[in-house]
Amino acid sequence: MISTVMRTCFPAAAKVVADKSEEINKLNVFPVPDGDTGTNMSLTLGTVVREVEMLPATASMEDIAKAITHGSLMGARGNSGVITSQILRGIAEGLCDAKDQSAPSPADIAHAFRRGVKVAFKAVRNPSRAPSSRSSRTSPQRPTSSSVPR
Amino acid sequence: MSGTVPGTLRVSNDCIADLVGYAALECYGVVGMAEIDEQSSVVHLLPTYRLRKGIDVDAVGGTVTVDIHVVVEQGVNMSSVVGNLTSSVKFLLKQIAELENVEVRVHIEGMRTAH
Repeated sequence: MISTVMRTCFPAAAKVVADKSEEINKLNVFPVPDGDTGTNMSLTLGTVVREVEMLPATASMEDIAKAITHGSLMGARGNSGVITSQILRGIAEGLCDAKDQSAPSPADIAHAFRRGVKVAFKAVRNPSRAPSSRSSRTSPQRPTSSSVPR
Repeated sequence: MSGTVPGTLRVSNDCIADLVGYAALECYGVVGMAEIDEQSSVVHLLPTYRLRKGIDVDAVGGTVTVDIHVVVEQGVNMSSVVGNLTSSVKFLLKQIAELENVEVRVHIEGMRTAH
């Protein structure tokens, strides 16, 4: 089930970001070069992890999507945290669009990623140099079958 | 060429307003500047060439006060967006206009619904 995969993978993904936060901090040159992109993204994802972990094992995809959206909205720190929250909101909404939410197809995953980028870029008038918004555009558009969660 | 040019740098309030407006447009979550119609109380989203209508600049006793009237995107953390906007504006004014004492007040006049 996708919900099980999300509950397992999300904390792991958040840990990778936390581990690499110092490296990501060095990418921070815009809008204010205060070197906190990685820290902010990590803190934002940490709030999402706490919300996801509070859900019961039987939680549906919609419950998880709500937890991701709410957790990232409330926990958003800094510019990169707000951008991360919008990317996650778009992906969560996109996954809920799948016909079979328990087993989304590669096309559903691609749709979710595209929705994440669309939502993220909607909230800025002059999309430009923020590191977290740039990286979202390089996310996979056509996932291979091996990248599909089982 | 020497790095320091003798003289005084004077920056007009309108120029400061333009700088603030462009900084705000690059701030994530800010849809644009807002102007309130005094008669109807309707909030207008200003086009790029009229950004300064949504910004009030006042300079008293060495402190520059900037009031920014904005429309934000629905579904973003407003507290974070306001914090980001404030730090971006202060940073830009310090870098470009050499203004150290800047007080920024952000007024969220409207929200754009994401559809």
